[in-house]
Amino acid sequence: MDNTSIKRKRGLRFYLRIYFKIISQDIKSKMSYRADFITTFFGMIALNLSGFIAFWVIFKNFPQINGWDYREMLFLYAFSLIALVPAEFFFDNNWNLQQAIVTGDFIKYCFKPLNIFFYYMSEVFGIRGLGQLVFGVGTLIYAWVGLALPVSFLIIVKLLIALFSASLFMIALRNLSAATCFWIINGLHVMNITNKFRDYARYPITIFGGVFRVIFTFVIPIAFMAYYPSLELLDTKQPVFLTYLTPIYGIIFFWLSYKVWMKGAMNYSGTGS
Amino acid sequence: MKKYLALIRSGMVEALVYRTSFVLKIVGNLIYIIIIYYLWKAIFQSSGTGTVAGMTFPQTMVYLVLASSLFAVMEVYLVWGTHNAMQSGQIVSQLIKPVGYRAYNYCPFFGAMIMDFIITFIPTFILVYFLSGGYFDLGINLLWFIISIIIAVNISLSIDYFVSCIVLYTQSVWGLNIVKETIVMLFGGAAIPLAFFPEPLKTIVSYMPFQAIYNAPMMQLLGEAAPQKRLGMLLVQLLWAVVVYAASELFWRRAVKVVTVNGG
Amino acid sequence: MPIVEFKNVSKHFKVLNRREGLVGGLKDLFSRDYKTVKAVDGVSFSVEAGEIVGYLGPNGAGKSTTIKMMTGVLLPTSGDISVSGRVPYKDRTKTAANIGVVFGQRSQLWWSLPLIESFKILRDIYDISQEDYAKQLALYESLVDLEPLYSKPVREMSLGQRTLCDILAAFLHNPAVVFLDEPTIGLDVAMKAKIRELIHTLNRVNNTTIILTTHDIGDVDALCRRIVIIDKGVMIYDDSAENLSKFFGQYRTLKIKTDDEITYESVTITRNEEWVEIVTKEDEMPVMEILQALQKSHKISDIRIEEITTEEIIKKIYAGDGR
Repeated sequence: MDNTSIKRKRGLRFYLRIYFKIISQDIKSKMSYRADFITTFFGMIALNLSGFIAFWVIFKNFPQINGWDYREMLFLYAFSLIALVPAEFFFDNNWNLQQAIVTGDFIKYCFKPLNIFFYYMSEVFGIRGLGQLVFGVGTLIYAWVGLALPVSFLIIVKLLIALFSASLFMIALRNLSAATCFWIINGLHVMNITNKFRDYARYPITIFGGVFRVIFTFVIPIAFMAYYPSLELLDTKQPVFLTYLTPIYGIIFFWLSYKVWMKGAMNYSGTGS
Repeated sequence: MKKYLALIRSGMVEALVYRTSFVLKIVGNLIYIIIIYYLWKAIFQSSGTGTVAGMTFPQTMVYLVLASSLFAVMEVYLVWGTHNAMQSGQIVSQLIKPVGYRAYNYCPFFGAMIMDFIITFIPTFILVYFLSGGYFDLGINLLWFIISIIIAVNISLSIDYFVSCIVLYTQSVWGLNIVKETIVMLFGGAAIPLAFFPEPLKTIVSYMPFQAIYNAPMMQLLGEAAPQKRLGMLLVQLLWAVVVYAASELFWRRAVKVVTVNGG
Repeated sequence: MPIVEFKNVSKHFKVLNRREGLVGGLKDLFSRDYKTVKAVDGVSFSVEAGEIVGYLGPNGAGKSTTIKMMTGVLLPTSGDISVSGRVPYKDRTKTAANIGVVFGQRSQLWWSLPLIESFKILRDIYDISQEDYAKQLALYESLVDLEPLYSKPVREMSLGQRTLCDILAAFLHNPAVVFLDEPTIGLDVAMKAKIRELIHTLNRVNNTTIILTTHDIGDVDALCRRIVIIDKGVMIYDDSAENLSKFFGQYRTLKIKTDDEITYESVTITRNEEWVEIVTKEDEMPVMEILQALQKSHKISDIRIEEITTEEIIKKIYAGDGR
C-alpha cells in the first residue's frame, strides 16, 4: 500500500466527486426519517405561505411602493427566494456551527486531508431550500407572465447569471454571520439577525435614505440580493452601474466570507481544547 | 414558592452571563427599526393618504417596533429544548425534578424574560416614545398594557408547550417550530398590524388565540378605549390563556407517556 | 528515521486577561491586557515506526496542544516537528493523508450515514485503491464481527460500537501514525479489553505507529511499552513503562491495621476503613524503619507491604510530589 501521499492532485473534480457522494447519502438518510421529512415539508409551506400572506396583506392596502407595483414587487420577491436556495441547499451546516464549537465537535473537521470549509459544509444538505425553490420559481413565472416580459435564450442566461450573483451574497452573508461563532459565544444571534434582514432584500433599495442606503448596499449588501440584478431583467426599470457590478462584487464578497470563516476556524482550533 | 423563585433567579443570572447576546439583540433591534421605518415610510408615502386601514404612519411604526421588541422578549427555545432533552435523555432527569416539567422550564424563562424586558424592551420603549414625539399616552393604559403582556407571555409559553408535546411524538423539530413561529408572528400581529388584514381574514384571525399575544397588548397601549372595553379585551385574553393552558396540560399528560413508556 | 519527531517544540498562547463587569468589558474593547500561557514548553522526543507510546499528563498539561501540532492544526511558536517526513503545519492536508485520529468522546464518522457509506467516503477522501480497501475490510472482518454494523447509522450505535468503528475508520487508509485520544473512555470492562486487543492487533499488522493519550492506566498497562509524561507543558518522563517506578524511586505502601490515630513525619498517610496506608520512598525512608517506630507507640494488629502500581506513581506525579 502506498503509504506516503495522495497520488492525484486534489482538484475541483476530486472535491465534486466527494461532495456528491456525501450529499446524496445525506439526502438518503434524511428521507428515511419520515416524521422529520413530513414536518419539514409542512414547515417549508408555512414559512413561504406566511411570507406571501404578509406580502399580499401589504399590497391589499397599498397599490405600489416607491414606483414599484404589485407584479414588479412580486418579481423581486420571487428573485430573492430563488437566490436564497443555494445558501439553503449547500451552506446550511452554518446553522450548526455554534453547537459544534460549544461541544468541541468542530475539531474533527481539522484532521481530514480536506479543506476544512469544504468538509464542514459538505456534511449537510439543507433540504428546506426546496420550499423556496418551488415557491420562488412558481412566483417568478407568474410575475414574468404578468409583466409580459420577453423570453429568449439571452434573457434566460442573464437571469441565471443574475440569480447566481445574488446567491453569492446570500451565501456570503450567512458564512460571515456564522463565522462570528468562532469568536463570540452567541454567534447564533448574529445569524438570526442577519437572517431577518435578508427578508428585506425583496424591497427596492431606494426606500432607504442616505447613509443607510450605503450600508445596505456595501456593508450588509441586501441591495444586491434582488434589487440591483433585477433592474436589468425588468423592462420598466433602468439598470444602473451597480447592476453590472453585482457578479464581481458577489465573487469578492463570497471570497471574503470564505477567508473570514477559515481564519475563524484556525483561530478556534488554536485555542479550543 | 422558594424553589420557583430560585429557578426564576437562575434564569435572570444566566441571561446576564451572555452579555454579548444583549448587545447583539439591541443592535439587531436598532437595525430592524431602521429598516421598517424606511419601508413603512415609503409605503405610506406611496399611498398618498395619511391614514390607511385606520392607522397612521407613526402609529404603525410604534406598533411594529414595540411588537417586534416584545417578540424578541417572549421568544424562548422550549421546543428545541424539549427536543434536545429528549435526544440526550436528560428529559428523564427533568421529569423527576420536584417542581414538575412545566415549572422547571417556565421559571428560568420568566427570569430571562424579566431581564430581557428591562434591558431591551424598556430602552426601546423609551426611545420610541421620544422618537415618535410622545405619540402614545403614558397613563393608566400602561397598567393595562403590563397586565396584558403578562397574560400574553403565558399564552405564548403554553403554545410552545403544546408544540413541544407534538415533538415528543415526531422527534423532529425544525418544521414544527417554524410552523408555530410563522403562525404566531403573522396571526399574532407581530409582522404586520392586524388592522391591515383584509376581511374576512381579519375576522377569522380575531377569533384565534394568537392575536392575544401581540395585538392585544399593543391595542391596550395605543388604542383609546373605555375601561369596560379594555376589561373586555383583557377577559378575552384571559379566556385564551386558560384554554391554551388547559389544552397544553392535557396534551402533555398524554404525550409524556411516550417518554415514560419508551424510556426516553 | 523516526516517524514522529519533536525538537525543542514550544507553543505559547496569548490569553486575554478579561476584566470584570460591564465597565471592564468595555475597557477590554480598547486596551487589552494579555498574558502568555506556555501550553508546551521545549518538548523533544521522537517515536520510531511501529511503537505504541502512551502520552500522559493531567488535564490541561498540554497533551491536546501537542497532538494538534503533530496533526498540523496548530503552528508551534518555536521548534521543529516532523511527522512521517513532513512538517505538519506547512502542509496540513498532505500530513493528514498519512495519519489517523480518534477521539474517544466524539465520533468522526458521518452521524446519519450507515457505517459502510462512511467507509466508502473515507476511501475516496484518502484515495485508497480498491485492492487495498478490500484487503483492509477483509482484515477488519477477520478481527471483529463487522457485518451487522455495516448498515447501521452511527447515531444508532452504542458508544462501544461507535468507538470500535471510529478506530477502524482511523486505520482504514493504513496511515503511518494514528493518534488515539482516550479511546476507551466511558466503556465497560469487556469493551475496553476488546478495544485494547484491537488496537494491539492493528499496530502489529501494518507496523502502525500509535500515540495514545489516556487517563486509564489499564490502557497503558495493556498497550504501551513506552511512556511520555508531560506536565504544565514540560516533559517530565520519557522511558519504558517498567522503568517508571525506578525513575521515580522505589515507592512502597505499608498498610497497618490499628485503631489508633497515626501520624508520622514526612510521609503521606491515608485511612481506608480499618487499614492505614503509608506510602513511602524506600531509599529515603525504609518501610521497616517506619514500622519499628510505629510499633513502639501503637497497638498494631496486622500489616501488609505492597509495591506501588503504575497508577499510583502517575497519581503522585500528577499531584506534583513525584520529583
